[in-house]
Order: sequence, then structure tokens, then C-alpha cells
Amino acid sequence: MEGRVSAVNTNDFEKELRQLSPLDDRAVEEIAEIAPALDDAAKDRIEALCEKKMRLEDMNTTTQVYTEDVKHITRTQRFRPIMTLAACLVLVAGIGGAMFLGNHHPAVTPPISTDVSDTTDTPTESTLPSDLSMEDLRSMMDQNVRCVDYFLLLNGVSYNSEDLGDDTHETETDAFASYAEMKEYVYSVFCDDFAEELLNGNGGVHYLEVDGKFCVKPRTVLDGVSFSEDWYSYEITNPASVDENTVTFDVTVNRIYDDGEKIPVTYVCKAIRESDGWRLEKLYGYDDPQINGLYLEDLRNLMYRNLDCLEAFVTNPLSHKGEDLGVGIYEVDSDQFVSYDALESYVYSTYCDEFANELLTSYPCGYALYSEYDGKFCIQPASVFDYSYPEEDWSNFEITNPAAMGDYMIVFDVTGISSVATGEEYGCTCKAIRESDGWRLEKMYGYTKEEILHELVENSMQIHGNYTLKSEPLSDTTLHEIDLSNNFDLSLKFWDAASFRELVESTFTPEVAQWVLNDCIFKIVDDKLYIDEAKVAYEQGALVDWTHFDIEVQSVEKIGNEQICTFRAVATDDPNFQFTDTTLEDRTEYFTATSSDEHGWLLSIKPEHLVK
Amino acid sequence: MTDSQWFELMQTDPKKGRRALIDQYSNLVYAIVLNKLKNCASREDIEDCVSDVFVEIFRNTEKYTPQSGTLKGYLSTIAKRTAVDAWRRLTHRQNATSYLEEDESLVLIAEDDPEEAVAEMIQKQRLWDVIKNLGEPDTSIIIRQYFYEQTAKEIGKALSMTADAVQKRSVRARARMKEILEADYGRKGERCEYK
Repeated sequence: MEGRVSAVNTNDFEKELRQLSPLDDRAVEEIAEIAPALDDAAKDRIEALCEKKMRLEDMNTTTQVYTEDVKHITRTQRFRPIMTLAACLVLVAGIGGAMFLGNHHPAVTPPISTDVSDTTDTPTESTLPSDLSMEDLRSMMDQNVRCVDYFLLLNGVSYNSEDLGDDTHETETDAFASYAEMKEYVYSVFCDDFAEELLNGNGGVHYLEVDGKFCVKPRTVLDGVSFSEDWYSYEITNPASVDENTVTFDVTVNRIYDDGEKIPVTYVCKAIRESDGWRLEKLYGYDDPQINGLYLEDLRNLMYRNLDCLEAFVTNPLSHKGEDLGVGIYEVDSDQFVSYDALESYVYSTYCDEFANELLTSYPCGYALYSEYDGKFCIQPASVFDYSYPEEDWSNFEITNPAAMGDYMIVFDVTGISSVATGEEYGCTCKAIRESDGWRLEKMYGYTKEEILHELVENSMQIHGNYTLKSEPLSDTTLHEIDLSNNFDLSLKFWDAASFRELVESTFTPEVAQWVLNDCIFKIVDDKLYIDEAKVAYEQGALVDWTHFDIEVQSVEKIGNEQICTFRAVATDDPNFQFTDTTLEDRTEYFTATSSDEHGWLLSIKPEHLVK
Repeated sequence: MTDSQWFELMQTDPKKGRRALIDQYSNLVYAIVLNKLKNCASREDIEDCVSDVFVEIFRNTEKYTPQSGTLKGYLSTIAKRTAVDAWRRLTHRQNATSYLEEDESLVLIAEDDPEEAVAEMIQKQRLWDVIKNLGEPDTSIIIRQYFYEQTAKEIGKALSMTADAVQKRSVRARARMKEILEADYGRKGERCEYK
């Protein structure tokens, strides 16, 4: 499965570990204690399921004696869960002759199901046509929920493991005895056009009949969706008649994201009168939400544009015609952007004005990469930020956890970007800002020069780290071994002397790396990593948290085959850590990085924090 | 919360009592159910089964008294029974290759080859001991990866690590397990099974 922890070779117990279950009772108990699987969101779901089941059982119990009577008035007798529910409602209301989904409805009925929708007040009922009550709307939505289960989530549908061909399996669900029953049910819930699409289109789980067997192609259509919707609790509001045959109403449901965050989303639903009763226009649920007027699809488009700009400005600049126009600039030869105006307008419609301006005039090396010269669209190759950028695969990226921060900002995560070389996945947190004429990204996202420099500083700060030292020094020395066995800093990029050396050598130029490994406070002896306590100068003054920091590039110069970049890192405010006694100076450190034909970007002067 | 406190809470505020029981024991019930249904049920099926367990407890609160044993034991028994019922239901009419209840599976294997059954049990127990002794966070990572079958991303979220770090630690943990278990077999002069 994509994203699952993968083995690097075949000798690491995949088979044995996958057969770990079943374990004995004691082991299972230990597992539950060591690694509790359920977060609060999962517990909420279980609680909601329990409450729902108990409520249904109660309703069944109170109406048991009437069951036989109910059967003949229901339209299709084998839709058990729904029909039982409908039967209860009808019976509780004391009206035995009502037709399920028909035109006769009890005037007053208790709410159908949910917690939130237990709003028995129906002040807006008068806005509905006389043959459609709030109760009918709830009943329709319960049926919609059932279809969400069947067609989107494959919930409540079991099927035989035997593949009848083309991933087709015979169902074993007792909700529907046959494909014909399911079809009839779908047509009783939705308008004909949508029912047809749901049954035969490509939009959901596909049910079919093969040799008289009721079969399913059990693909799940919601793979990759990072949220669930709590359809056990929904609320219907604002019912309104558009005309005598159309009613709209809002249905609000809690959307629960993987990290437990709950965001209520509202579906604007439409019921349409057909010749034999009211039907829903379509299936509602698991749609892309609209946040502050922006759909997820729009965010995706913005990220695609970001990728285009990332390539054009950073990882893969536009090609040129090869003829120097005399001042180190070349005419662009690209089908993607045919003129400077086209590029400019693309950039301004992708990023906020401030960043767009920076991108066009001084990115990435302090002056314009693209310009218009003598009426021609030109590139200045000398201002490309030299780096052999890792190739990124953006084909499976996902937008997750979109959250509105007021009316003018949306923060969202982009995940599933992976390195083509290693398959390693990574992601970033992005911001979209609403400007006067639409939404823009705050800045460029991806493996930019800031990302490269950020990683170098992060490595450097890790090397500086706070260590637990073993108390006994190496005999006749002041060297204390760093105790990495009890290290709980899970973001640490090294775990022994060898990986420490590797990290140092991939962060600093060879000269500085040698200094860090031999002349700074560290020493590697017999493959063990030591700190020379005699060289440690315990810092006085403000304590700065370098968990989060920004990179501000000051200049990029090209000297011979080398590019030299001076920049500063500024530790930023962490929501969990408020700076109280630190000044900007305390939180700022200056760096120089160098890139040459021999190596990519590496820190080329001794960092202040290590010199201290 | 003690068993008696829960029992009292159920008398005074059943809704709170139900939630308290879910908070305290849902992870145990989930692990028990998963242990039985892992190969034949989806996560939704498993959560559904877990809720069945709690509904049965809530429905039969009066049958349980603190004198009749621990609440945890009572819950575990119902969880195992409910999971086996669910397993039967889910694998109905299938030529199930799913996990049977361990006692049942042991009997089946034992009929063919009792020695093999015992060896398998010992091997599994040893594997579990090694996992337990890996130390945190590696133990949790391996459990989540192979018992709960969570993705690197899910594990990372639960343990406040990046997916990348989870992957690296998992690979290293398995390498350590391999060393330990190979040394085990080496000492006993047996052929190493872990290849």
C-alpha cells in the first residue's frame, strides 16, 4: 500500500512480522498498553456507533409487535435497516397507513436518528410544500447516508473472497437480496438521472449482476481522502421551497480529519418532486468542501501552478536558443511561456503580489532570471541557483487538513510529494491568501534554495544539540561518550558515530567538516562518539529554541566555478514556546554556504553556535 | 477509575459512564478484536465490532457486579466472544484463510503436527519478546506497523515523528531483531529461519 512503511530488503522479517497475529491474551493486553491504537476521533466514532445501535435497539423493541403490520406498507421489504427505521417512525407516530417515501406523512413524528438532528423544533416546516415534512427530509438523508456507505465507503457490504473475474465478487450482504432490489432502492432515493449514473457510472463502487448473482467490484473510491464524515450526526437547516417541485435544504455534518480536527461542512441539498414522490437530486457526502469560497480543486490548481513556477525559476529553468545576446542573456525557447508577459501574468496569478514581485525581479540569486530585452523574452543563465535538485514526483500529491484562518487565509498541508530517486515521501504546509481578485499562494513551495539552506542549518543545529553524556570519561581523558542509546529526540538524524560523521560531511565543506570532527568539541574514538568536556563552553544568556526558523538570503554571488550564498537564519516563534527574553539578535545567526562543481551546497564557515 | 466507581457512575450518569468505559478500555477491546479479525475485516468492520462489544456491556450492566470479577476480564471475555462471532459472520461461506481463534487454530495444527504447533507458538512468543525489548519508540513502531497495519504517516502522527523517521527506525529495528534472533538460533545450533 502506498505510504506504508516499506522494507529495504527481503531479509527483515516481513513475513514473520505479518504473521504476528494471533497472539495470546497477555501479549494483546501488552500491545494495547504499549501502543494504544485509537485516538479521540476513533473513540468518538465508537461512542456514536454505540449510541446509534442502542437507540435503534430501543426503537425496535418498542415497535416489535407491529413489525408484521409494517412490512406490508413498506415499499420494499428487504431493505432491513432503513425499513426498520422507517417503520419505527411511522409506528411511533401512530399512523399505520403511511407509505414509506410516499406522499402521506405523519404530521408530527420524532426525529429519525441523529444526535445533532434531534432538533424536534420545526419552525421552518411551513416553508415546505404540504406533502413534504422535515421528517421526510431526514428520512431521505438517512437513505442518502446508507448509499454513502454502500457506494463510497463499502461499509456494511461483505462479499465472497473468490474473484469471479475482473475483480468481481459475489456479495453476502443481507441488506439487499438481489441486484434488482438494490436498483429499486437507489431509484427510490434519487432522481432517475442520478440513480442511473450511480448504478452505471464510474463515480462509485460498482454493483452488478453476473449469472444471476448480486456482485460487487469492491474498489474503494475514497482512497487517499484524509477525512471521514460523521454521518451518524448531521443537522438539517434552512429548508426552503424553490418552486412547487423543488426544495433546498442545508445538511451540516462534522468532517473529521486524520489528525482529529473536526470541521463542520455544509452540503446544500436539493429534493425534487417526481411523479411518485420526492427524491434527492444526487448523493451527498465526501465532496470537496468549499472553504471561504475556495474548493480543494482550486488549491490543487494553485499547487500545479506553483510546480510550474518552481521548475521555471528553480529546478529546471526554461531552455534558450544558445545565442548570447551580448550581455550574458539568451532568448528563451519555450512552448510553456511564449513571452515575458505570459510568464509575468502567470506568476502574478499564482503568488501574492509581494512574492510575485520578488520572484520576477530578484529570485533566486538577487537579480532577475527572466527579463525582456530588445523586445525578446530572455533568460540570464548565470543567475540560476546552481544545485542538482532531486527530481520530485508530484503526480500523487494530496491536499490535506485545509483550515480557514479567518476570511483571508487558508492553511493546508500538501503531502505525497516524493523523491523519484528514493521514493521517500515528504510534504509541506502551505498558505493561500485571498487577494482582491482571488486566491494566491503566499510563496513558492517545494525544494527551493531556502529549503536547501534550511536543511543545512537544521543539520548544523542538530550537531550542536543537547546531549546526555556518560558520567565516566574515557580513561585519562576529558572525553565523555554521548549516550545515544536512550535518545528520545526522534527527529535526530544520527544514531551512532558513523551516521554522525555522515551528517557532518553532508552539511559542511570538507575543511569545516574536519574541524567539526577533530577540533571542535567532538571526537570519534573506536567508532564511539565523544564530547571533550574541557572544550565545552557553557553558554550564558538567553535560551533560543531552534525548532522553527526562517531563512533569509542576503546575497548569492558567482565566483569562478563557485556560487557563494550568505544568509541568516532567524528562530521564529513556536506556538508552544513564547520568546520572552530573547532579542532578534539572540535569535539570528549568520551563515555562508558554497556550491561548486565538486559538491552541492554546503556550509563553508564555522557556524557561530559551534565556535562558541 | 476503579470498577466500583464505574459501576456507580453508570447508576448516576449512564452517558458519562459509557464514555468513561470507552475511554478506558476501547484500546484493549480494539486490540482483542483486531487480533481475531485482522485478516478478514476492514477497519470499519473492526470498529463496528468494538462498538458491539460495548453495546453488549452497556445493555447488561446489571449482570455485572464488582464481585463477579474484574471489569477488564469481563470486557475481554465479551470482546473475544463477539470477535469470534464476527469472524464467523464475516467469513461465512468463504473458504476462509483468516485467522481462527488461536485456541482453535492450535488444535487444528496440533492434530497434524503437535510439535510444529508448539514450535510455532514458542517462535511467536520469542518474536514478541524481542519486539517488546527493542525499546521505545521502536517497539511502538513495529507494533503499529505489523499488528495494527498502520501507514508510516499514521505512525508518525501517533508518535510525533516524520514518516521518514518512522521508516528509518523501522528498518533499523528490524535489522536489530534479525541480529538478536539469528544469534538465538546460532547459539542453539539450529538453522536460522529468518531469511
